[in-house]
Amino acid sequence: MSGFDDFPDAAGGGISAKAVLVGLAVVSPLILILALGFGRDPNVMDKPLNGKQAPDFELPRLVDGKLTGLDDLKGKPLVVNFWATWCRPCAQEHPNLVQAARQWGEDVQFVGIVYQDKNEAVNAWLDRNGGKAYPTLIDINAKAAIAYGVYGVPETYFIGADGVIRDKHVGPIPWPVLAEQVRKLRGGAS
Amino acid sequence: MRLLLVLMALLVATPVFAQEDRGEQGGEDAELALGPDVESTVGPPAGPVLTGEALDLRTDTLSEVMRCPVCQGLSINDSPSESARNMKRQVRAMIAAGYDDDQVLLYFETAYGEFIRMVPKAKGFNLLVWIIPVVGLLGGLWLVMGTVRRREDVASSGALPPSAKQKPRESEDTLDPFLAQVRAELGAAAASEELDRE
Repeated sequence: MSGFDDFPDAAGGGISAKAVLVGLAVVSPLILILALGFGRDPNVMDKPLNGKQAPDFELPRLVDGKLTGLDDLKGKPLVVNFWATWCRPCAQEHPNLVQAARQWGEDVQFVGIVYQDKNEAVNAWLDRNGGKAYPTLIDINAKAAIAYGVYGVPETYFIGADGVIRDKHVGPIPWPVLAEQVRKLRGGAS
Repeated sequence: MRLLLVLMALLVATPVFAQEDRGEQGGEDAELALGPDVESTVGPPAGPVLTGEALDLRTDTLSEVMRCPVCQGLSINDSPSESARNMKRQVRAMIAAGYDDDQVLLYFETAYGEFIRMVPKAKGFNLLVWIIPVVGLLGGLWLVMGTVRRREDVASSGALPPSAKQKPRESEDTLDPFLAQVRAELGAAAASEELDRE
C-alpha cells in the first residue's frame, strides 16, 4: 500500500471544502496586505507635520554664531532647506534656492540649516558655490532635523507666515517645484 | 609581517572612524539639551529623572524599539549611522530630563510618523499583523486534528478508507487494459511465490 492510500483526502478526490475555506480565510488577508505593501511607492515619505505648527528651533548662525529662532524669521513665509556639503544632491539644488532667494527674497524668507557638517566645510563650500544668499544655521546634534522629521538631506520645508508647515519636499528640489511652492506661499502671486 | 600588522590595525580601527560624527559637537551641555518644542509636544515630564547606568540602560532599551530612518530595518540602538546616534542622544536627553517612554516615542512619532516604531501599534489595520498568525495557527491545528481524527476513526472501524477500496482501481483497470494485465500478472506471480514458500 502506498503512503497516499493512507491519506483519505489526498488520494480520495482532493482537499475538503472546509480546508479550502480555512486556507482562503488565512491567505486572502496576507495577499491583501502584500498587495497594499507592494502597491506603495517606497520613495513617498510620510509628512506627518504638514498642516501643523513648525517646531521652533533656536540655532547658531554660521556667520557669527548668534542664536536664531523661528520667531526671528517669522512674519514672512519661510523656506527651510536642510542640507550638507557632503550631500551631492544638495549641490544640485543649491543654484535653484539661491536664484529663488534672490528673486522672491522680499516676500519669502529662505534659510538653510546645515545637517551633520562642520562650519569650516560649510563656509568653504558656500564660497565656492555662489556665496551666502540667505542665512545659514548650524544644527548641532541634529536636534532641529529630528524635530522636523528629517530622514536625510536635502529636505525642504515650506512654512506659511502663520508658522504652519504647508508642505515638504524630499530630495533635490527642481526649479518648477520650488517656484510653484513659493508661488503658493506668496498667496498665488507668481 | 609588518604589513599584515598594519592591515589588522586598520581593520580594527575602521569602526572607530565610522563612529566619528561629521556634524558640529556642542559638548556635554549640547548632549543633554532637549530638542525644539519637547514640552509643547508631549507635555511636562511624567517619569523619573534618571542618571548614570539607569539612564544608559533605559536609553538603550527604548532605542531598541525605535527605527533608524536611514537604515534597512535597524533600530537606532543597533545602527552605527550618525542620524541614529543623534536620535539616541535626543532619547537620552529626554529621559535624563524625566520624560517617560511614551512621551519620548510620541515626540519622535509626531515628527516621523508611526514609521519610527519598530513594532507598529496594535490598532486599526495593523491589528491584522497580530490576528492573522493566530488565526493561521488555530486553523492549521484544526486541520491537523481533523485529519488525525479521521484516520483514527478509519483505523478503529477496521474499514478501508474510501480511497483504498477497489472501485477506483477497477475503474482504472477498465479504462487501461494494459494496467489490468500487469496487475493480474503481478498478482499471479505473488501467489506462486507464496506457494513456493509454503
